[in-house]
Amino acid sequence: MKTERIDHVTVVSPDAARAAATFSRLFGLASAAVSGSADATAGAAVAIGGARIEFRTPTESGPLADALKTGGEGMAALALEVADLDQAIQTLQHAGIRFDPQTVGGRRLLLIDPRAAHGVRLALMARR
Amino acid sequence: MSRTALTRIHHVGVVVRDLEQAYGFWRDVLGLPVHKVATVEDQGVRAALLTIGESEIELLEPLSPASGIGKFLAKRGEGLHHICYATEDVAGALDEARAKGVRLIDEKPRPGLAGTICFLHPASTHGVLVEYAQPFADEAHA
Repeated sequence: MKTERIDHVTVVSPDAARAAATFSRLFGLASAAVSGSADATAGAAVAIGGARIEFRTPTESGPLADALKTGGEGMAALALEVADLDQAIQTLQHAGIRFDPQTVGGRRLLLIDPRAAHGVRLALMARR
Repeated sequence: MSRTALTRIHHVGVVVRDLEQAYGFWRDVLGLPVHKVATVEDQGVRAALLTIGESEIELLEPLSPASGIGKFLAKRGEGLHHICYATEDVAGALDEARAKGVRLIDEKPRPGLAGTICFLHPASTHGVLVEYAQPFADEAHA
């Protein structure tokens, strides 16, 4: 598999807009567009280099709502971009790793079983 | 751009139980090359940096249950631990954070795996543990 870059880090927060504003102010980061979300969430984002930090407030039950409930406000997920999503699928299948394929905002991604990814809620995303 | 600007994600830190076992996924399945491995005795951690584009994934294995990473592992299990931004001037960036009223873990920068580093307190940053790193001159990212 060729994993090319960090697409975004997801921060779960009861108030995503406020958290994004805090990161903009403290770290001098410009606001950015949020990607579509597998969870129904209200969101905001900031850009840093070629990556983004996305802030999400869960509006219904799902993995991010679980993360907020069990871990509190903070980092909740990581999204990496791969060169070839079909090749990634083959590699994961060969390694016996479970994943959930989705299309979010027109972009294909794979949600990886967090048990395989050392506790990380990890998404592998196709190139834009 | 100001030298204190935070220009990119230097790395995302992930706590794991065992580095060798973690390589099975992060290096062998995802294909991320291991760039550097080091034991930081005073932090009670063995860490590996795996390159991904302009950034890295930092895998952190505790040396003992009493270390900070060991306590995190016992309380929260394996998973995301912190985010580190790269800067050309870590001391200046830390001064700016202090001036903005951010609660700090490190009052001044210190040597770490990623370069000269400091940590901010998550109480000021919505529960996110934030690190700044000024990479060592001989290891400036390509």
